[in-house]
Amino acid sequence: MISIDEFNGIYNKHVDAVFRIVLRAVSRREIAEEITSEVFLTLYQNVDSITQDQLPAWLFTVAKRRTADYWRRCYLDERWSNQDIYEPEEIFPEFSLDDLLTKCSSLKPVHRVCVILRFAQGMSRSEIAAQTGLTELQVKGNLQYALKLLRDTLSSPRPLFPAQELSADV
Amino acid sequence: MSDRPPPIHSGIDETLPPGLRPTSYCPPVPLLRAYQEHVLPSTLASEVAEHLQHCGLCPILLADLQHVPQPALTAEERQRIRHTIPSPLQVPNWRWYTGFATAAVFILAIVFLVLRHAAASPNQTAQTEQTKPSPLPQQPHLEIAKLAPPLELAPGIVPRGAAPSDQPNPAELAPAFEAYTQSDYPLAAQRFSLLTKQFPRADIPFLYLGVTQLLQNDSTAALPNLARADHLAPDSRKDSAGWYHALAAAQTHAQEVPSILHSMCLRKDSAYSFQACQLEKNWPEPPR
Repeated sequence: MISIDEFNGIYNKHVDAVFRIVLRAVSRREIAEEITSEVFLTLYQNVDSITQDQLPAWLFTVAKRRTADYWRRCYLDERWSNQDIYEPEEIFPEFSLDDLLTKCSSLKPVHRVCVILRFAQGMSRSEIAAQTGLTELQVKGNLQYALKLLRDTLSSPRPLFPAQELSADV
Repeated sequence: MSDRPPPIHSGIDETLPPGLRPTSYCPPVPLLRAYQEHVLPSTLASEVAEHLQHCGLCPILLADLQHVPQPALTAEERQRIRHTIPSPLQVPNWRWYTGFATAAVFILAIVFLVLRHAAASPNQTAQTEQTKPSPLPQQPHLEIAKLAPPLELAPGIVPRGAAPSDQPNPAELAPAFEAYTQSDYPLAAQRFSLLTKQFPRADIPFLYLGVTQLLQNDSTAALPNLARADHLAPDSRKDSAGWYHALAAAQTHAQEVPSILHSMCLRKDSAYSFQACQLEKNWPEPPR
């Protein structure tokens, strides 16, 4: 059994880890905050039957279950449950962003993340900042740097792609 | 999601080089990350898995996100989370002592009454009956009124459109309300309790579970549920949730009763403000 002092100790020790796990799974801070709160409320309600050695695994399991519940509830409502969104429009790009990102070795993960979130996920700078924990200024800098590198790569004398794939305007 | 992001007009060229486009439409990043954490329902997970097999960008994004540090919990968020957990934590280790102390006080009181009764002469008894001491301040007797089910859940009304994901829909609530309206409180409590676990952010199951427990005279169990309902309730149900929270607090003699009653009393458009003011007026002052 866990006493009040132990409960406070457990909270202080594990709340960050539980929050991180939940945030990774739901990607929205306000939802992560609510679910983290529910996890510790569940601990509070089951304090008689939990022992110290079951922690923090017990907390993480509850956190996972709660996030799974969240997604189950979202599943019915969200637009992405519609099959249509997985049917891409007919787009015939001259060359693909993923190939270019893979081949441009100077890009760091954070640059690639900013580019993909901006151009594939359609996020604004502020949304990218919220998602990654960067500041908007950092996002702006990363995007500019990444785009410059991509342009340089495309205009380099040794083409990365077969000649017929490159359009005239590159 | 079907629209491409508009170009940013900031004077800085923040557009993809000409001719370069993402190759496919991708699921939103929260969904991708949830997939990675294995918390998606199986149908959705298989759809995302299928997308990932064909998409070149999403696997790169997921791999790269592992290298971007997650923003940590802020002190403010930490405090907010802590405040949602009931503060007067019962300490399980004290339960044994509490029970023992209660029993001891009870036995002592009985012994005292028996001795006093035996020592008192008939004349003294008669005199005592004639000059009764002024009664000690007692807490007013509380009568719990049954809360009517919400109007939108009344039988025969079929709501249009999907309910918000956090709230159970009328069909899910119906069995619990059926037991509740038939005054089968043990069954209603059991069903509402299940709903609270299924919908931990919905106020209705917590509110009606609490009210059901109050009607069963189990105010100790009702208090945390009604406190949660009061916390979660939208404006339309805040009034009822606050009032029943106050009643549960009053029945359990919680310390926060005066403050809850006072805030209820001050509410202008509340159906319960008059009762709250009356109760606050009659509520005994704490012993000094």
